[in-house]
Amino acid sequence: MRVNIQMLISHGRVARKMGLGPESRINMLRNILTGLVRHERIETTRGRADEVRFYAEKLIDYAKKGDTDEKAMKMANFWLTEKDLIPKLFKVLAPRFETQPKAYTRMARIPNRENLDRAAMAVLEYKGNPFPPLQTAKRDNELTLINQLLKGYREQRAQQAAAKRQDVL
Amino acid sequence: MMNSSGFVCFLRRSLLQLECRIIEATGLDRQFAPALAVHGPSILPHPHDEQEVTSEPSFLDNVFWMAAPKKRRTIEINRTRRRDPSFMLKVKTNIEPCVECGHLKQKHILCGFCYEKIRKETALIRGQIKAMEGRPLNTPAQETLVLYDSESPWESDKDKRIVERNRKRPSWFSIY
Repeated sequence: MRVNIQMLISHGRVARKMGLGPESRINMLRNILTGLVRHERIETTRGRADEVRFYAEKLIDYAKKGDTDEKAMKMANFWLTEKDLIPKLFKVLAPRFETQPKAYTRMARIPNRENLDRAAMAVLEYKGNPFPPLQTAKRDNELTLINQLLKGYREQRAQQAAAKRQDVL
Repeated sequence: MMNSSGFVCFLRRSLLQLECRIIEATGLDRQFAPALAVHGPSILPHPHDEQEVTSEPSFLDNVFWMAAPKKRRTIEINRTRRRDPSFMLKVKTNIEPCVECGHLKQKHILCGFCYEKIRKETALIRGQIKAMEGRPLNTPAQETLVLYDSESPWESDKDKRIVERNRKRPSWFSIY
C-alpha cells in the first residue's frame, strides 16, 4: 500500500475514532447501549453519546420488526450483552415508539465532569422514560414587572366584561 | 706633550666604537649563509604536522552559521507580543441565569443545579427499582410508573409496575 501524506491528514473525515480500534469502538458502544436500554437514561461523554444515538435508534427500528423476525433477534442478541433486556426491548420499547417514525432518543449537554479531566458530558435518554423530565416547558416568569402589569390589565378587562354582562342582564 | 698623545688615543678609540655601532645598526655585519649545511633528504618528518589531523572537526568550529539575536528585544516589543489577542482568555457571551433557579448556565447546556436535583431523584427511584427487582439482571418486560405520596394509578396504568416514593411530588416533576 502506498503510504502518502493524505493518510495522515484527516481533512473532511467524519467517522469518530474511539478506544483501541474499530472493534474496541463497537464493544464500547455495545456496553453503553446495553446500559441505555437497561436504565433508559445515562450520562456519558458527548462524543460517545452522539455515537450511541445512531445505534440506539437503529436498534429500535429492528425491534419494531417483532421478535419473530430472525434478523431482529440476531441484532438484539448481539447488541444487548445482558440477555434479560431482550424481552424488555421487544415488549416495552418497541410498542412505546410504534407511532413515532424516527426520533426515539434525546441528548442534552451537561456541565463538564467534576474530575481532573473536565470532560464534556451529555445525558442520553429514550423518550417516554419514567424519570423526571430534563427540560420543563419554558414558561415565562410571572413575577417580572411587565408580566405583572399585563396580568393586572387582563384582570381589569375581565372585571369590565363581567360588569357589562351584569348591566345587560 | 703627554696630553696630546692621550687625547689622540681617546679619539681613535671613540671613532672605532662609533664605527662598530653604525655597522651593527645597519646590519651589514650579519651573514645570510647557514652556519652549518648538511646533505640529506628534503622530506623530513616535521614535528608540528602531526597535531592537525587527530582531532575531528568539532561542532563548535562551525558555530559562525547559527542564528542568534542581534539586539535585545525591548520591553515594548515584548509587551505587544505577549498581549496579542490570540493568547488572551476569550470572553464568553453565552452565559445567562437559569429561569428556574437563578444559577448561571451556558445557553446550550442544561443548568447544573437543576440537573443535580433531577439526578439525585433519579438515583433514589433507581434504588427503589433495585429493591423491587431483588437480584441483578431481573428486569421485567413492563413499563415503569413513579408515584408519590397519596397518588394512585389511573385506568391506563394497570399494566405498569408501580415504583413508590415516600415523599410529596416535587414541583418540577409533573405527571404529564
